[in-house]
Amino acid sequence: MGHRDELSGRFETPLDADSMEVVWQGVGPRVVARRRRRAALYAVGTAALVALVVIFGRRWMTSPSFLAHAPLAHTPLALHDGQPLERGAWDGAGARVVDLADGSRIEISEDGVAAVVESAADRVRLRQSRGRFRYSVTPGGPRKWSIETPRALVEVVGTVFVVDVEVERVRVSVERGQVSVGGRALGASETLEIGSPRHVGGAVSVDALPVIPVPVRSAARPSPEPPPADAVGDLLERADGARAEGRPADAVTALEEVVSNHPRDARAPTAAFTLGRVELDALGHPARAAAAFARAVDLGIGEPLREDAFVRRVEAFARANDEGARDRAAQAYRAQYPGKDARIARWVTGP
Amino acid sequence: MTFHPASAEVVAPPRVDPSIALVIAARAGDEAAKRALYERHAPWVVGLASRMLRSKDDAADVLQDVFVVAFDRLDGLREPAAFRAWLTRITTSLVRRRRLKQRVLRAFGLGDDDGVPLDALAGAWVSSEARAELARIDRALATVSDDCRLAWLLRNVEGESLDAVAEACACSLATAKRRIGRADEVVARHLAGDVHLKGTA
Repeated sequence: MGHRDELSGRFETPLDADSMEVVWQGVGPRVVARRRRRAALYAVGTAALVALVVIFGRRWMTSPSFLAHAPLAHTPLALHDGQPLERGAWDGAGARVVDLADGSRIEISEDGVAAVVESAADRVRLRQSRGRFRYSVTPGGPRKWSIETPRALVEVVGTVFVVDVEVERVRVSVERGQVSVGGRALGASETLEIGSPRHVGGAVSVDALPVIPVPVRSAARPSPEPPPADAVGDLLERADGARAEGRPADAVTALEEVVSNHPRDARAPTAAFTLGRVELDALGHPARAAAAFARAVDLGIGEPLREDAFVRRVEAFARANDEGARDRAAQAYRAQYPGKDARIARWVTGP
Repeated sequence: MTFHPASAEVVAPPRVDPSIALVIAARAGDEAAKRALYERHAPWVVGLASRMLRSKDDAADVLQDVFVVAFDRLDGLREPAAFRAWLTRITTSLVRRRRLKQRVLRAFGLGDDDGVPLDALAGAWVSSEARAELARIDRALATVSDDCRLAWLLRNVEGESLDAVAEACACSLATAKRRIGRADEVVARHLAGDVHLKGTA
């Protein structure tokens, strides 16, 4: 074009010096105002964000669905007000309701006596000695609930049921869902009474269930007869204490004694399963853990722990780097629980 | 060894853009440095804005907006030496926004259709022939898009390199070349009289 050099020289500044000065005088104040406006917007935005987080975060974090799932999967169960559900006895406090952080609820009769034996990320274990307890366990939660009574072990993941413990008998009534009583499934509207041949609700036979002569530990109401010794109970308490105090090897000794010397006890399968967990998770003995999980299955452990035992056996062999045993364990799991490969996929690399 | 001054190579000191020191001082809050930056760069900013917007009032508004934005964001300028290019980008961005506002106002019958042509922005020293040529260029640029007009003005009046035009227009080098070429073609036809002849035929 040839204009480039000379075109720029043809123009004068369109504003005179006074106008340029007027423009300049407005720059500084506008910069200050702009920064103030931005700071105010930032403050308002931050406050609004914080308010939203507080409002919706609290609502969400206290909702049963949140509490029942992932965030609590790594923490022990807590009471509704956030206080930890600590190990210890519940007795002598009269009728009461215990609301838990995951939305579960326990309604306890006036004479109810129980103890929290274990409150962990994946498990809650109570020992109910006496009285009527209505358990409403939020379904889909990460924890398995176990209720140990003098005559049976009740296991559940999510349901509503009543456990009524008297001196001579234990009655379990299921309102919704399904529970395992001494390894037996008990469905909705069914009632099982242990310690007496009498049927209540006429749904389930109790003949095959073990009757364990265990004393009811009563704080408020003395038993009519002196209670017989509960060797298994003592061993389990010893194991619990050892685990709580960080002595897994001592826990193993007590649990092995239960499994070896009292295999017919209703609590033996769970003891075997716990033994496997301690060997694998606390002591790093995968081969021994695999044997313990297999023993739990052999002893007739009920669902859902039975499936867990199969899965954890696969895990144990994988951790032991015993590929052959791992694959055989995986095959056994698939045979028992078809279509649920996802649970063992982490441990099995091959098809 | 004899020293021969005549044969000694004279090395000129490296040329340092004074804006660099001013930018650094302005960042530190030196008001005099800010003022100096304004005095140094305001004339070409308002010149470009007026030639693009065809309005002295709008150009004055854009001038103030440009320096408000520049001084507000000065801490974000990573390379002080790039101050002028950075200011050009701010200017072209604000000019575009202002052009949009002008079009909206015109659509509602509130804007000035004619505006100030390029020849009216020429200095008093410019000859009548050169002024007439500017008028033809102005008419030519009125027929191309804003993008082409901006690219052409940056290249042919502000003397920016092709790279700088592309950066200021936020487009690729190829696009900048295409826009300038399109405007060049139109301007050339106007200057050659083709359009005028066709228009009077």
